[in-house]
Amino acid sequence: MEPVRVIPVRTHFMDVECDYESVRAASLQARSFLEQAGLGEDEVGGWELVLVEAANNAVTHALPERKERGVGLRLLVTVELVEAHVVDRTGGFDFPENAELPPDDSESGRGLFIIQALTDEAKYLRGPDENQLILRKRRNPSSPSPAGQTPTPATAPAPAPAPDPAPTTNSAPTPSSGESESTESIEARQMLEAMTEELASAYESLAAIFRFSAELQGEAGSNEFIQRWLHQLLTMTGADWFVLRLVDREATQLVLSVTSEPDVATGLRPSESIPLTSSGAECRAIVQRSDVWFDSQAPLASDDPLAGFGRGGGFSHPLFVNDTLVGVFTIGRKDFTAAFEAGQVSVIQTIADFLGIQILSQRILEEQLRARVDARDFEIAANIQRMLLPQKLPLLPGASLAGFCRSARQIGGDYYDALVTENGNLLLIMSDVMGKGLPAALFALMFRSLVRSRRDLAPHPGRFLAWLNQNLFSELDAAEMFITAQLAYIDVGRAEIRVSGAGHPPMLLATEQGEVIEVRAGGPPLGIVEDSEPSEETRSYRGGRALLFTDGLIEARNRDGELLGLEPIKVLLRNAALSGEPIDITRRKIVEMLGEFENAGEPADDTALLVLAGNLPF
Amino acid sequence: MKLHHSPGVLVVTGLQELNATNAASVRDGVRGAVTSEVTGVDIDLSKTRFVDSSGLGALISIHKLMLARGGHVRVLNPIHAVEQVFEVTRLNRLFEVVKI
Repeated sequence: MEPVRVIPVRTHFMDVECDYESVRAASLQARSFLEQAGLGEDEVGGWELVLVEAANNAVTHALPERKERGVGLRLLVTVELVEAHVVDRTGGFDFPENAELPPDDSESGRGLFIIQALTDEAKYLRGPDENQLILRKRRNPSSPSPAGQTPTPATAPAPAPAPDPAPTTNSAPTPSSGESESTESIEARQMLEAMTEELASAYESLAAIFRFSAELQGEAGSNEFIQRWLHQLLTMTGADWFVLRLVDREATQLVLSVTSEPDVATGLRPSESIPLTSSGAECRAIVQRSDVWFDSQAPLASDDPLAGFGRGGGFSHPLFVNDTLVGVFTIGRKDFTAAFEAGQVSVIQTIADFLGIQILSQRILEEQLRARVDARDFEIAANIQRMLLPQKLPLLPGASLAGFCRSARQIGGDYYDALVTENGNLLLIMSDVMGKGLPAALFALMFRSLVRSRRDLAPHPGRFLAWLNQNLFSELDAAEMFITAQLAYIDVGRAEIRVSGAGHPPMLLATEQGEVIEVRAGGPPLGIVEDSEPSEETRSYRGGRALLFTDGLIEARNRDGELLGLEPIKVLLRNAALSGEPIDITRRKIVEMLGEFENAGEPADDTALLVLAGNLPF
Repeated sequence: MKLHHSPGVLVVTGLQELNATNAASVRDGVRGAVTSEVTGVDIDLSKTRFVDSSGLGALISIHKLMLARGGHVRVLNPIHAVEQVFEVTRLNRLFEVVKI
């Protein structure tokens, strides 16, 4: 994007209570602001008087029911001009183009004359709830420039205006501090600045935009912010209703974001969402990328989503930021015999476009935040998984162990362990939490803690699994997750291995005689059936190899999409048992087989395995 | 605001401001102090840093009272900003602005 000129602006907003004392106090604050902005004494004095006159008028004529909303004072100072807005909650009045002085002996009626005499332009905008007096005066060329700023417009990136001492004073536009901005945010800001400059000649727009810009540092893009601005837009342009729809993330629907109050007479609200393919005015505006107007001469079609709600006349304005569709804004008047003036259309288009930029920026920020949270989740889950796995496996006379765990693209909940029981026997554990990320890692951690807390249950793996199921069921059920697990208890004294599984692949047992047995005893996964009673299977075990693993091993796929399956593993294990090779060799062979089968393809799932080589001394 | 009488003249001093917040009390206070002996009112604005249209209204009210009695009102030593208010509203023609 081309560098844009930036107009240094200082703004000062005040909400003033509806009495003369408060007005006077506010005018002194305004005076101090103008002095700090570098205005000369005559200019400051003139504005002080003008603001008092305008705000006193607002106090004198405020409607009793709106008095508590007070009087709004807004000031902005640029290098070239000072602009003031006085928001009143009176019934409104006819503002004369050229106020005249009353007869000399009249004790009142000079306020408007003073206001007009001391400003270059004065315009009064009437609205249903409030009115605005907009006053503008070019600065005296001999007076100094705004404090802390260069007298001539700077080129982007603009220096931040000097910080303001008064808490109610804002400088805009100001780059946000803290976290660095994304390219999109910077572009949006630059575009905003460019548009601000482009519209600098139209003072209604300029005033609105400056106020808008000043608020950008706060909750810009929030629903409340949008709502407030669009209601102000109704006031500023004398419109009665509006509908803002935003495109959904899939870019198929236009979803209702904010609308004016339902029509009292009809109670109608616009439909919640409409497909982007609709033939209504809103979608046509998007397709044409230009405003679509409607009134009694060119009415909305009866099947237009706005028909009924959008009575009278108005127009739909598409919201694009560069080529990104944000939504569509429609605004209208019930009585369209008084069509929008060109200046009002300009204000509507400008504010709508600015809101579009803010909404898009907000969406980008939210996505960045979500990505950061995901990354943090990932980091925590990875830490948990590292913590889950045993630092070293126990050593028993005549039995050796080797484990392996590999994570796929995302952190999972695979966990294996080997615990020596009180009576010197061994419990092997293999489990797989269904799911990914932080929740899976947390369940794996819970599972591990429970297993380690009750190793006294090890001699009966079926009962142990039933107990684990009871303790995890409600949490797993609520999270709609489950755990598959397998426990193998090696009873050294009896030379037996007792196995039970919970929805887990079979344990493979390769004997020294070359037989490979699939031990499948067990029950459903943990978290599926509340009162499961997994079966157990006991096998004689003196030597050979036992292999516990998660489904990632046998469900590994090659580039043709074929599954590895059980058979190659069984062959490998049989050969290992027959040869009596060291346990590390067996593990390495399995891992290599897995790698070769996948042939550097992307692992689809986590894989964990635990190999036992037995040579029990009986 | 302070009021004191010198022979035939009511002198008003000590006005910090003359605006909507105090215009009515200044008007009523001065009018109430205009006794039958008073033929002139001197309003010292040398310490008055701000006057608005309500304040001008109070001065006009006092002026009308004095006019009806055949007297007059003088505005003494207004600061530059206040003098400008008189000029803008052309009330410098109505009041005698005196700089001593």
